[in-house]
Amino acid sequence: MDELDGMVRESLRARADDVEATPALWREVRRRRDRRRRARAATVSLAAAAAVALAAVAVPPLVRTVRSEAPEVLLAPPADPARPTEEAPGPADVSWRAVATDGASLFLLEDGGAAERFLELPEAGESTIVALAVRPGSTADDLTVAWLAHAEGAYDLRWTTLQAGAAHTGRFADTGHDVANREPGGSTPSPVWSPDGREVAWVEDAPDGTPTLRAVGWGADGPGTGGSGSVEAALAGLDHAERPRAVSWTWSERDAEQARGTVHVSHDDPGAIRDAAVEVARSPSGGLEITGQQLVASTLARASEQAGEAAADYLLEATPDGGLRLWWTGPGGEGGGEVTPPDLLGEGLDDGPAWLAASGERILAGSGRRAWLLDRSGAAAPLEGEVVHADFVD
Amino acid sequence: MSRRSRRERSDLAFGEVFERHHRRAVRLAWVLTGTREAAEDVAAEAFAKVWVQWERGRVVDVGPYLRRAVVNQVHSRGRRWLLEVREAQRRHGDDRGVRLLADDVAEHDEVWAALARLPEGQRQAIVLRYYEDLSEADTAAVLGVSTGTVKSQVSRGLARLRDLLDAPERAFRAGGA
Repeated sequence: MDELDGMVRESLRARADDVEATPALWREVRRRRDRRRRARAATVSLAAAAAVALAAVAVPPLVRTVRSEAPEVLLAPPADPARPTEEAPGPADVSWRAVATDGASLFLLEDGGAAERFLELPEAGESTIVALAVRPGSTADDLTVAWLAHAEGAYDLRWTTLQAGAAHTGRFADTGHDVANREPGGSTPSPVWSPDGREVAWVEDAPDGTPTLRAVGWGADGPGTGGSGSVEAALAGLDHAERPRAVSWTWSERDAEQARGTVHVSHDDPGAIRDAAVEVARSPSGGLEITGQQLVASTLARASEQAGEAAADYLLEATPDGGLRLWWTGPGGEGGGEVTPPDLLGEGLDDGPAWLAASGERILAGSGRRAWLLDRSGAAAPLEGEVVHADFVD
Repeated sequence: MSRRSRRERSDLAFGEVFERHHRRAVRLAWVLTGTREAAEDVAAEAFAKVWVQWERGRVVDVGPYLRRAVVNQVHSRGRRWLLEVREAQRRHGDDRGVRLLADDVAEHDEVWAALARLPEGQRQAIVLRYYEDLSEADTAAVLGVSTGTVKSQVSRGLARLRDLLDAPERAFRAGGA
């Protein structure tokens, strides 16, 4: 132990030894606990209904991995498309499919509880997958997933395609599109796709620390190969220390080549009001530009879904009494509604930054290493096993 | 013996848990946040969350569980929130929250001032390693990162501390804690 180690230890202990809690702390703990009890009581009937309507969606043991040509991943054959879908209770009894990660692998997850792993990070690499986004238009047999890994204080943006059983993984850095983020205390470059999959965007830190929205075109061969242009612009009003991250992208106006829409950027502190709505436009030449920005009220988590020409938004927020509210606007702003899900805050929904993914009337919500399947009735079913992040396959 | 409600029994039982662990939790929150109000707020929220899981029988060992809850709470609140709290205290002279019995000592502690200037990840790793005396593996588990990241954060943090201590005026000017 060198001298500085000892000084740090001594300083911390000397400072901490002088600290005592106020008598009000226990009262405050009880008050917050009571608030959670009230929220839970208010939702218990819905939770009971959910328990009847929904069985837990199991993530079964993952299977069959074989080494791929890529040195960094182990690949497995994808799910057998001929395998019959298991009967499983779920919202609206319609099958769904998602790509999920437990931090160490990517796997296809289906409503019957079936899961097939198609990518596994090597243990020696000590990388962790922290976010993913499925390219719009993907299917189980023709799938593209952009995903974000974190290791040794740096982020690494990659993508994996899964076509006819063959998986291929590429790194954005190898195409000249490496992310600038180097410290985990800064912006989080979680990928988000444009609704037609022609661009992928993320938030990164400029050299002076300014959070910057960056988007690159996407063609058949990965980032930078499509006809769409790129955009890189500072996000006004956001601080990189808030760890901003892109969470959704929708078009509000669109024709064959031109489009105008919004990229939403959230951050890790749900108590503040610094989420940004970044207006972007695609020109006839394929270039992208930022046409406006505004700060909006923050929520726990946000997702959007583009349904043809119109987009639907889903938001999850904590209510003042400690409860939870899921609300949405339907495509074109019509057909909105709200429900009170079960006490997911008490279950740990706020263990870390929360996330949402939406497809039709289904919503995946998660935080930390837990996730739930929600629907517009307020029912919620936990995904058994560890799920760090997930996104629906169209 | 009088019959107590379920709620009263839970309050009594968790009250004993609180008595055993609250000092350590508040002190950890204090060295992580560096502000009085933040430390007590973080500790209150962490205890409330642990209570929920404890009632459901999901907490086997309260100490490590509570430590992780405190760190998670600091992380999820974000630095922006801490800066706002500091600013609010500066503007309003708010003296609620944790009582610091030796403020005069703190104001002249160069190491403490330098620690307050570290990025959040480096500060958390150093606090867990040198204040909580956790191993690199245990620190990694609490922070949810790899042991390699912990090594990197501690190494960078100590290097940054050396730089700051070599320029004490700069450290004190921006320390703010």
